[in-house]
Amino acid sequence: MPLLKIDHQELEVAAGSQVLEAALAAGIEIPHYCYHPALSVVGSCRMCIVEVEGMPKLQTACSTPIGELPADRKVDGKYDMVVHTESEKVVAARKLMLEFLLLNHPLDCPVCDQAGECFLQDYSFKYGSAHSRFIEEKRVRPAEDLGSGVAINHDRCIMCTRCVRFTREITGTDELFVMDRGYSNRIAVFDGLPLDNPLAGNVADICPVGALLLKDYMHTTRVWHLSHTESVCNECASGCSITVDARDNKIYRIISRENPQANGYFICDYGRYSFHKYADSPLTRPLQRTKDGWEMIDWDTAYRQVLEQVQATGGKGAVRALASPTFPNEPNFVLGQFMARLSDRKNIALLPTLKEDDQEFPGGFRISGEKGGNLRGVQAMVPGLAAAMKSLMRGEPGVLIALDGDGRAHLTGELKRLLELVAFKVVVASMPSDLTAQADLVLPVATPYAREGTMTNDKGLVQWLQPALHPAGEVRPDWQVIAELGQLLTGEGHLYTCAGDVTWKINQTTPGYSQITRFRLGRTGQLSGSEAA
Amino acid sequence: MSFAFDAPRTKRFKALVRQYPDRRSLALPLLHMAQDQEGHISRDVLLALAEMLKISPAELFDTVSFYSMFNLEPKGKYLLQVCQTLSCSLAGADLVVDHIGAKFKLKPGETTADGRFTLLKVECLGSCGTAPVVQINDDYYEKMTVDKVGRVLEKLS
Ligand code: SF4
Ligand code: SF4
Ligand code: FES
Repeated sequence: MPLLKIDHQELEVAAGSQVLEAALAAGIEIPHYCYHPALSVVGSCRMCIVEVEGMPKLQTACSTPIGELPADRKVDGKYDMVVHTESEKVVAARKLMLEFLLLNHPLDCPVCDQAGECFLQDYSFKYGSAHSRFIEEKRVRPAEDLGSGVAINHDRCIMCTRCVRFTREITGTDELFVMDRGYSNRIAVFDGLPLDNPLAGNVADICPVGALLLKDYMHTTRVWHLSHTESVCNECASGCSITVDARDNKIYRIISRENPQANGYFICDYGRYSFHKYADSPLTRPLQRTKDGWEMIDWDTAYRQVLEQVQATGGKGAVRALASPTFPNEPNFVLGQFMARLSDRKNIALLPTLKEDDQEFPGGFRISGEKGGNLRGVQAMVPGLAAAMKSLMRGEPGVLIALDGDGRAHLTGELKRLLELVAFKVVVASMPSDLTAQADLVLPVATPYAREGTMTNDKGLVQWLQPALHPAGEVRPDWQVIAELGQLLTGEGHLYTCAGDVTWKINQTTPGYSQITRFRLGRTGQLSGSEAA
Repeated sequence: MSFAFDAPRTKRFKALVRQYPDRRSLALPLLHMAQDQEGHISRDVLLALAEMLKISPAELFDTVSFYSMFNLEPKGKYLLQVCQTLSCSLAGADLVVDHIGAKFKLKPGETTADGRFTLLKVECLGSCGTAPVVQINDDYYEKMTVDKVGRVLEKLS
């Protein structure tokens, strides 16, 4: 393996890897714009220039491969390449490049949404010059709407073409292109063919400057006011890693978080904008159906009701339950546990959720058609969980305890029949939904981005769901509500202290999950064992 | 209004397809053929060619807009392109432009009302030794003076 010396660090790197890749992998930052690990290399921004010993001119680190030198030609007797990233020559050239990129830039950081997370700002601050020698009038162009909720501010664009390569290589939809050349070039869409694909929002994430912007987020806040919570999207079974950006208990945006085991670098627009669904009027208090609508009650009354109804309608043996693939493993696990005690798991089935076709993109990204994001997890949590509800149709009409589908439940004929058949319906939910509309009692739990626990995607990757919001009102955590119901009905059972406590119990008892603990999951998760399958 | 190549050009297209390694590399020859036939590259032409080349209209327009010799707007029957780069400028290209402009009441970039003449100022035509140069459609008219250009235009109009 070639030996690379980069500044004062020695690195062994794979032959053929590029200087920039090797440096980034070793945690050395070389400023760059056009390079993106998921996209082809074009070497156009000239920001990554470095000095390579033995080469007369500065080289672009993103497109300079490292090879092995014959023994007698090694630099200093051992190096295959010696690179300087902060030499006088490099620093001077970088300064010129930045001056060049800023020629027509409006320098409007105070009103730019990218400010605070902008590479143009950061590098200018670190390497740039405080003065421009450009005294001519700046080129000014109006902002444009490119479609799919993305707008472009041409004046800030540095022509790195990341966005163009994204639509060519990742989505294959090819909407963006570079129009005209030289001084007048700009990013454009073809007349009548706007940006139109379900991954479009990513172009704003990968734009290194404030040129491409999400209209949904534009001018709503400043990035330094946001808290960044690393979490998981559960809108489908791909289980993408995300960062949820919130302020004052309100989500402002969701962006992708790099995870080679899950989503790679991107997320889809359904996931990106999904937080809006859960923002308006979530449930805050237990609700009881009365003759003329809903009545708010307290938790004790609610639980007492459940107990009375169970006694009045066929007893504990007639209690049915629906586990939900839109909820984390923890509440489903606890539900499975107490249903095992009540009826040996004969009376628990899977809540049907929406299914569509998978959407695959040329760049390898996949939106799963399985809208119950935690399907694989639920199946592991409740062994023998049947998708069919036949077994639930037998026996006396009793009480049904259902975890909600967060708006993704599929009201199949079978489910509708079950809902008609049971005498009393308890729905554990965060938002009003098709299912809560039919309930007799609604128990409020946190919305998806306020939940804590684990999710298992369709590849078996378990990730930790970090709450980005505090639940409002009298909402309780989902695992707690289920555990409380369990204790109420079985008279025994463990009351957990936190979601991680349930995760630990899962670790102890669930095949395939013996490696899964709150802390081992880290930022990118762990694969559950194959014995789970 | 959709676009299709006429019969001889369709034949030529079929021959070219066999000569090129893949479809997309045929972009420039097809664009020239289309401009030849239509006079300019319209939106319909772009859509039709993109389909023939199996690329998106966006990618094709990327290429088209890079080259100044593709006309995106209809041009006059005679396209008068006067070189305005250094050598031609020093040798009196401005006088030629002014003369043409005065004769047809045109500013550079405009077309006469009867659709016969379009006047353009362009960058280096690569014939500095014979400056000033005017390119009229596909032909070069070299060492132009006001008199000479006047005579050439007489013949055309
Ligand atoms: S809009 Fe952004 S991503 Fe696209 S070329 Fe400009 S700077 Fe690069
Ligand atoms: S692909 Fe699925 S998990 Fe990923 S962001 Fe989209 S909806 Fe969420
Ligand atoms: S990152 Fe190397 S030239 Fe742009």
